[in-house]
Amino acid sequence: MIKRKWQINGKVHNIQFEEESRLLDVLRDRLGLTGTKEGCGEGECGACSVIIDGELKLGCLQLAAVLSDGTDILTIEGVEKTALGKRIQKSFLESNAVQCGFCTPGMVMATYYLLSNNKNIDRRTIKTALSGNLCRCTGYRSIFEAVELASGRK
Amino acid sequence: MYIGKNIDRTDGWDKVTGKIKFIADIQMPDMLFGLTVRSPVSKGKLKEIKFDKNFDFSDITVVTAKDIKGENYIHIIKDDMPCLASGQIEYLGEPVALIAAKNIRKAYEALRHIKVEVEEETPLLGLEEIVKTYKREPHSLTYFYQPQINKGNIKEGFDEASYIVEAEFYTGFQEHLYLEPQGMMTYQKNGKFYCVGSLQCPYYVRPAVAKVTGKKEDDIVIIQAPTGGAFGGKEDYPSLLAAHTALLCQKSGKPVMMIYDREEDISFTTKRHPSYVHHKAGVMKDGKILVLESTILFDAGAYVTLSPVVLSRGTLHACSVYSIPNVRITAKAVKSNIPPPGAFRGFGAPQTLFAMEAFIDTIAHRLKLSPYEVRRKNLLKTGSEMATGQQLTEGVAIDRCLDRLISISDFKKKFEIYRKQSKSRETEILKGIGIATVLHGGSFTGSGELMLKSKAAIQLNPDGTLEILIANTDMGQGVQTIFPQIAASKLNIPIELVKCPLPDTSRVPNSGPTVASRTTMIVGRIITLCCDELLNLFEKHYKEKIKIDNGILLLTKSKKRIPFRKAASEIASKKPLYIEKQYDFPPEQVWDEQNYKGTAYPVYSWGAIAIEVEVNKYTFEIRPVNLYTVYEIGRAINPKSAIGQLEGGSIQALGYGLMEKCELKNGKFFQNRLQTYIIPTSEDMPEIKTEIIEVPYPRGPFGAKGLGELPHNGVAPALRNAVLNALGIEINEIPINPETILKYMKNRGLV
Repeated sequence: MIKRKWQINGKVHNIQFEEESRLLDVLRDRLGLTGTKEGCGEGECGACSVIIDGELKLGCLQLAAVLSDGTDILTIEGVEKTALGKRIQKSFLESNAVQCGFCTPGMVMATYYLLSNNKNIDRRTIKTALSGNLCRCTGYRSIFEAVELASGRK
Repeated sequence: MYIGKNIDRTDGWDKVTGKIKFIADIQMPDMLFGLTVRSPVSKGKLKEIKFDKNFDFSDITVVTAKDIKGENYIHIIKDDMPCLASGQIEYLGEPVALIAAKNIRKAYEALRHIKVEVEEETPLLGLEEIVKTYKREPHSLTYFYQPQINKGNIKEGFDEASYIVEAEFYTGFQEHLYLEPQGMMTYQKNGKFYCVGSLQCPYYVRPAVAKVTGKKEDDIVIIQAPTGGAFGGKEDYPSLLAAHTALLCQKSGKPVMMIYDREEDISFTTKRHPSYVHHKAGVMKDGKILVLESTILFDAGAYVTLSPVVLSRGTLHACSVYSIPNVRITAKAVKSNIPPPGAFRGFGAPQTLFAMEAFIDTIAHRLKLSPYEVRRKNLLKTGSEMATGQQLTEGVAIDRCLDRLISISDFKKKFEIYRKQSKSRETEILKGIGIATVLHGGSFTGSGELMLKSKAAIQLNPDGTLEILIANTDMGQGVQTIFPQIAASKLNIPIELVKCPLPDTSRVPNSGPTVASRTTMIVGRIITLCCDELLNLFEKHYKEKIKIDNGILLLTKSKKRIPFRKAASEIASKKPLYIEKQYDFPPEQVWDEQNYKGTAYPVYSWGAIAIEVEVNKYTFEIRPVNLYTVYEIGRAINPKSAIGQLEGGSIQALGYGLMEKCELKNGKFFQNRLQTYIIPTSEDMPEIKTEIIEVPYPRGPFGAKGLGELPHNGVAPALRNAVLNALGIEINEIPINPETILKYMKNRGLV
């Protein structure tokens, strides 16, 4: 068993997990943070997107054991507590950028990462920023609009 | 009062915050994880399931066909598909046994110690093989279903025609790729089995589980978990998954969950049927089609499942939006040795509409006419007779859709410019624009709705809240939002009072499956009938005529004003007031299933699509630049939700036409992961312009018709026609990826 002390969504957690665990498993099974989804398990769909030390990462490709003590992790459960996160979530709702909702947590995380790091965005940058997150329901246009709305561009 | 309003999704906040619990997010004490033991070959006799003697199976629950207490088949249309194969193997991956362990890792470990031995036989694999065999010796094939349409006299049509045009079309598999893989859990309580899962049709799952477990239907409860996309892929398959988890639960006495991983999901669950269509038409010089003779073959896979009804809809949409005096269509669902294909948004129509809409442009191309003019010449109008003899008495809006599309896309001008563009060596990018005009029949085919006898209910609670009790599921399309809009508007009460929970068969009547673009149109209507009945009951209670205005009951004689909540507490004081109604099938809708004559669908929705592409002459890369769509859907209850459906469907259809390749190699799907099965990403998006036209359907709730499947029907052929405009080459198969273009260029000696 591996022991780690991470900051998750602003709170310090002492956790134990098996050596081969993926971060996705630790979040979902050990911590009950089930907002992070598994859509493919091989880094293609983006449903497991989380932010680790300020970088957008995929929970299914991230070996948990390599994250040292003190790692800062933000998941969908923590995003709601930030002003930017809440704005993004409201924009997704208003723009009807949500249908089945399975890709949505990952989309919100990718959007949060984009808007945290970029002041000036346009359609092109949005398309690139979300290209690692698959949605099968919406056809994406409403998601682009949600991002623009959250950025204050619209 | 809420009709035509952009109400936010009622489940939206739980979804954007990740709080909503999909089936894989739920855990129960002592829950086991189940896995499936599958056949390693496509056809043969099952000899033995070998359990490694050196592995400790003592804490593994194992179920084989011998453990089945009920009957060993999955009830769909015909009872021919075993729940667990015991003798004959019909496809690679067919389930032969089930195992469950206390965690998923342990279950996978056990799976590695089980070997399935099969005496192999020669399978029939692949559409090409089917077509080859059909042309050579059609009697050697097995057909699950063979509908025929006959209208007029095709010989006379061909005799009179100026030209004969002929072409063959092929479409491939399409995987639903709902983001949430298939998942189900079964537990027991007080002698009943509870199946909770990601599913579309709870009342399809219930009898299937009852049959396999040997229990009464009343002892089986099906509960829909929030469902992460379905698109038809969770119409029939969850019956199998629920039967499997129920068998493991029955044997172990513990809750059992099965969640497919993506590879298992793509490899073994249903897909869109591959199709072959041969069209031969007799055409006049001006493009008027006098006669159409067609052969349609669908690869129906190892078992009957839903193939007859999928092919039926495909056959009935084969003439697209055209009035053709002489028609003969011969269609066949052919048995083969692949996992049974099944329902997928459009249900057979996208395949035959691809062929017909591509064929129209083939006719235009060969006769040097405009694709717009050929469509205009043959378009259905009010009063037209369809191939089945159905008279279209009202609401034919395809001409309006087409004209609006031509105007917003500037089709005529662009088509001529692109047709004449220089194809010289220096030009790297060739532009093209293509159109398609399509329809989609709303609700079940023929007498389907008559036989379903769908019942829906509302329940008025003493606190004044109103619950909508239906078996129809929200899988992302917005049922839980649209239905409160319908009921609140019908009753004129605040929408906050109305809730539409996800179905639980112990609470909701059987309002039929969530398929066939029927939920809003058919079940929505039943809910309006329930609302009418509630008003009747209020009038009986107060003994006078009542109008409801914005949540206040106005008693017309005594001039009393009673708030809805207060009235509810009076009329439903002791217990909730339950009102159930059945669908009132229109008696004029008569269908002759034997001869394919009559009213196949009570009403049609219409669509016109244009797509503009850029094709790289050297890499054959196709970039969709603009997508224009005009859809006529009766009435948009919630416009932003309707547009969400239309755009989402259009983009799935773009993937179908452009990139979603799924090939069989030795009975196995070669593209069985997300790394290899490619769906559209944000980077692939064209600019989309979507317009809605509303011609209210008198029998629909507030005029609404079906719209969920319509957008999957026209984008792929429009794309093919755009490539024809750009390159001057008739490509008759989808997806049209660079490899497809290369193949056609090579065949014509152009590379």
